[in-house]
Amino acid sequence: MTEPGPRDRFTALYSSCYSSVYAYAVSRAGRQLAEEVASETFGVAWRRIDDVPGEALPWLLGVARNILRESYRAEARRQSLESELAAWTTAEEVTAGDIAESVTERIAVLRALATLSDEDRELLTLVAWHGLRAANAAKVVGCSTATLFVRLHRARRRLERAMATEPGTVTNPSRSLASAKESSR
Amino acid sequence: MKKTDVMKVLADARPASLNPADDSERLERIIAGAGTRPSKVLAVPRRRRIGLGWAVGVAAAGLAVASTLVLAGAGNPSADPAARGLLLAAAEQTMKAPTGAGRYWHTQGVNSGGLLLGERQSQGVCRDETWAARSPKDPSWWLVHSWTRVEAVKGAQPPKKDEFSSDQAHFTCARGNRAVRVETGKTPYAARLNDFAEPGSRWPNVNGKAVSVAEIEHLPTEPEALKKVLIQWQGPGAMSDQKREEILFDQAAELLLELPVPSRVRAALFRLMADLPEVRSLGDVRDPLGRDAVGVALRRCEPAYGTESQVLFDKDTGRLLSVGRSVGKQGCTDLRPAGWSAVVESGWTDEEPKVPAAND
Repeated sequence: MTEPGPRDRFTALYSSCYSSVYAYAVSRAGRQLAEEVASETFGVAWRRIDDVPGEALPWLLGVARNILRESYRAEARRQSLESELAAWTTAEEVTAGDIAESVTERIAVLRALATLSDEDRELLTLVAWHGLRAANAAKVVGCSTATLFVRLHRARRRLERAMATEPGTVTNPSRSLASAKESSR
Repeated sequence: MKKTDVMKVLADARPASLNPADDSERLERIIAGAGTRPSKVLAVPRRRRIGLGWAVGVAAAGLAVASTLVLAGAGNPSADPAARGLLLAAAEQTMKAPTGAGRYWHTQGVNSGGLLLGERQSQGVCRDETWAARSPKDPSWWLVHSWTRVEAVKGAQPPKKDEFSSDQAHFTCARGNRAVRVETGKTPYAARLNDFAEPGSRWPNVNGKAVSVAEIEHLPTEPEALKKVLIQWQGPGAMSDQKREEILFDQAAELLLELPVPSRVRAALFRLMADLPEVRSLGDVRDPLGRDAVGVALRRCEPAYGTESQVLFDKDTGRLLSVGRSVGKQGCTDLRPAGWSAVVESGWTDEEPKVPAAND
């Protein structure tokens, strides 16, 4: 056989990156929209298979980010995301086979995460959940690595602060989302 | 002192809902739904460099603009009254034109210009169409109907598929701030524009900043408010007044050239240009297609380079006819035309673009 054709390369790309792109889409727009966003992202990758760089994930997440920004109404995305954030802290999501102490900590950090701005949450999850190093996370959000470090540092401090002040009661996620956005400006 | 690393706590709290369901048919569905086969060619609009410009070319024959220029006096605080008069009249006329409605903003164009390639520079004419979809869910298309052939290596063989390198010779077309080059000059050629590929290189864009059709349609109709939005589009960062003026002029030219701008916003763009102190009148000229036109231009003359952007429009209707760019290597003393894009026809339509099945 000669070198792999576009079809083989695309299959390899799909196998190695689909779950990460899907995870990014869930964390930005909730599971209701994630499947569609991830599929559309890979549709672009198929049409542009010759343009996909060797290190494909930052490129793919950049495409997914563009799709989220341009193809969905902000209101639809916000609603889907809010129900996602609320679902993360329900018992069945967090408790599966865990000791009580770590469950409390998980719920606390996820609740704190839900109070942050969209921008902060994106940066934190790109690094913590989607496994991107700073240079690659910077590629996704379109800033310099130096700027990313500064923004990540601030986001992290806000997350710590939000965890410290988290009262442990169920808050209205929509209200806390909106106020977090305002205060981050 | 922190007892725990919050990033580690966060990493451990990754919700299970982030994992996709198993679906053995998803891959096939994606390929079937993607529409076109993979394309080898690349059409990537890129952020244009302010300064030296994106295209340096040899002089094109038949461009009437360069010979009629008036030298811009540096540091003049007020706009050239002649330029102001032309632009305000164009704003007035533009208000009378209905905006229309439809699924696609369709522009039929003719262009000259191209990419710098080694020692040789490409320059020549191509005809094209741009179909900008109103809905971001519909594809936007760039259709090229004729090419300019470019030889980088003297006496290069005519392109034959699979047997030649585009570094030797290729076909090219450049419009506004985007350009494409291909190996075989088969027409019509289709490039999908709003493909979301490559962060920072999307379409529509205004001087490199990706915007949506909805954002363009909702631009302010007052020049000052419009100016504010356009400067915001350029992002943060300190800018000299001169650079801001250059950017605003280029943004206005790009918006007027082929983006679905409502009449009232078009009028505001003309008024905005009328307020830029460095804008100069070109007076009565012919556009690159030989049509009667009036024009304005903005120059930047630095010791190591010079640029001039021109906007030519119809005196009676305010309709944009063409935009052009000249560049020089010794300030503005050796400005030469580097490229232009003309509008033959543009407006909203419900027709569908006729896209060829595949490019290869």
